[in-house]
Amino acid sequence: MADQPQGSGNSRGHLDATGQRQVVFCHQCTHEWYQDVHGLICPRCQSEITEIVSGESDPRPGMHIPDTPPGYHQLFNHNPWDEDDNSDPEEADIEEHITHGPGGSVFVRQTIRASTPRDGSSRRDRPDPNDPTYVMRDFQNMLGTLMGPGFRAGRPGRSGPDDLYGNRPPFSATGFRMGGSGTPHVVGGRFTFTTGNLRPRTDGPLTGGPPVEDLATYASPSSSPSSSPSPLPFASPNGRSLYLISIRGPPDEIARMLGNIFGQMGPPPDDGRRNAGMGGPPGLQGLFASLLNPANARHGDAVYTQEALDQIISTLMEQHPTSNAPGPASPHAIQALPKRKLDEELLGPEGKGECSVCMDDVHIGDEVVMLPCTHWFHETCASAWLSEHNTCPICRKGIGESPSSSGRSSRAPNSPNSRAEPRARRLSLGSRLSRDNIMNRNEARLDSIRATGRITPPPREEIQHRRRSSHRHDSYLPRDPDEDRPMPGSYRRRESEDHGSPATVQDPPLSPPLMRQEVEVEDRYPGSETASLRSLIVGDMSKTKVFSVSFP
Amino acid sequence: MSAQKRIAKELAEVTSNPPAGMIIGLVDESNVHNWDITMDGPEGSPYVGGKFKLLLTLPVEYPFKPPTINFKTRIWHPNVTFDEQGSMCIGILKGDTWKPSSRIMNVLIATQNLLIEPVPDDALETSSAELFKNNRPLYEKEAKKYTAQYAIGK
Repeated sequence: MADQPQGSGNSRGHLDATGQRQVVFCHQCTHEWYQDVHGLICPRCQSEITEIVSGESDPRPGMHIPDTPPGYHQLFNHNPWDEDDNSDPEEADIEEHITHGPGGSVFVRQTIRASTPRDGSSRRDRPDPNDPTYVMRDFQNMLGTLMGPGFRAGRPGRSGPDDLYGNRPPFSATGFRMGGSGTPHVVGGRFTFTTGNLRPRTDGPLTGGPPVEDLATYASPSSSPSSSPSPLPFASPNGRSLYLISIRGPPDEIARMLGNIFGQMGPPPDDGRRNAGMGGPPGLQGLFASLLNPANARHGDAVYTQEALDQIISTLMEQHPTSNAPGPASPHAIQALPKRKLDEELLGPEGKGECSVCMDDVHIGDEVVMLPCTHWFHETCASAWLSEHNTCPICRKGIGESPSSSGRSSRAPNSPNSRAEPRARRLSLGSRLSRDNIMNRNEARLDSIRATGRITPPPREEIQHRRRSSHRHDSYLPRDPDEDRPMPGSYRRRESEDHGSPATVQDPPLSPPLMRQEVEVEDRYPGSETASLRSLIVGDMSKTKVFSVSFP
Repeated sequence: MSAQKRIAKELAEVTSNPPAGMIIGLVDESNVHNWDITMDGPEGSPYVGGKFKLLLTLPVEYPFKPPTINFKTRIWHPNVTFDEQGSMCIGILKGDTWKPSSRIMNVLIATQNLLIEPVPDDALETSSAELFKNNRPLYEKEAKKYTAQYAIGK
């Protein structure tokens, strides 16, 4: 075609949409043309499913969405695996669920089934997943996602090292390694942040950093000490890594601590440019506020939570006031209305009255239809109204179920000002059916992680404390279909039914490439009251990303 | 046609016994669907003293569809557009809350009450709604100013 992409206006084989002329793209046949030449209908396939290409929205294949505009939520371009998987996963391979669990928790699960086997060669350019910095960056990214556009890892205005880890391998002394040669390694570390009167390690990464009161980092004794001072040397693609991060402190300190942690963390290495100039972290309050703000689960046309969807629907309904008028009653229901002859009981002693619709006088002996609410009308008057709105012309009560308005008719909108009611009902219709199941699975995962990583489990009372808030699971580790496929050099995963008793697990179950990160923010502090933050758990298993935040 | 009949009946009712401070008639004697109403600014509102001309339009589907009211006299009010149209937003006349048993008499009284007590959460004019919510004295001052400008002595 004459106006096929060519010449100077091209951008990767596409027409230049940034110039004066508007470019139209056909979603049907991917043809593109200038709007002033062919208008809005595709000249090739006559499709009307076309879109004017703009800088913000370029649907054409190969055209990248430009840098996230300021103010957009980070999830807008969020793909936590972007940086360690060059193969673009098929859309069908990406699964993302965000559900609300019990107790106000938010549960996000993202699964990407990579179509290519994850072997060592394909992760050449990726950051070492065993590197704690990488783990923390992931954690930080996740929190950034939760905290909304306002959140970036920033540098608080204080002296001291900007980077939590500095240039040397952090926590190398605390990392541990399990398994003999020839078997997959389990690597991991345990980070504990604490405040209060615990003394910080003087040789910790925060040397020269903030004062004792602020934040301290210390390493717990690891079960298998590895004192190698160089970067954690177990970058086996078949290994698994596990990190446990605990934050302990008095309840009123948690918020400040979180703020401190985020402030302490330097921007991720390749994100420094983007993050430059951002303000300090808003702290836990900001996190909660953004978690609870449905607007943050909304990105353009896409919503991520039921509440955000609900908000959009409410807005639409308010913009189109007539559209939330009750729908028509079914003809069958109208026909089935009982007919009565007016008598003194209905008309009173005067024996006179009027139909409220046509205001014509009625007399004893006239035939009327009676609605379930006992209001009566001329049959023609009632059916004329009911065939458009399933409400009583007087009290607005519906006359029964109808196919087009089954939800509304039962609502019985007695009060014209009951606008809030439908919203509340819709809220309750949210898809939260599987929340227990998901929470249980998460519990199972954590147990399994503890078992296989031989991390010293938390004290029993702590476990019970946590389990009280969620039901006991009978569930299993979610498995990717990929993992059932035998892969060279890999072993079938063993069902870890015994994850409740870690001591019985002698060797880590062998599995395909699997990386796990667990970040736990604990709210317990000896002798203190329960903090407002109950737990923050990040599980990052193989291709499934899990994090959950719950509040009491 | 029942609509004509009912409208005629309602017209007779309100003209013979009009709500306080209202003069009601037809714009054109041959058309019962357009009513001409002159409403006094009610006592207890900053519109007192003004005379507001309203056009009440009854659709042919009346009473199955609600009437509409337009202020022909400009009025500075959260629920009335401050323009040539003078469109009014009032709950009783909304498509989803209208019911055939509502009468024009109810509508007119509701309109009068709306001048006394605006509904800022349902506003058409956000500036006056904000003032009404946050700075009542300034709202009253502005409303009085515009009443004097448009609705008094015209």
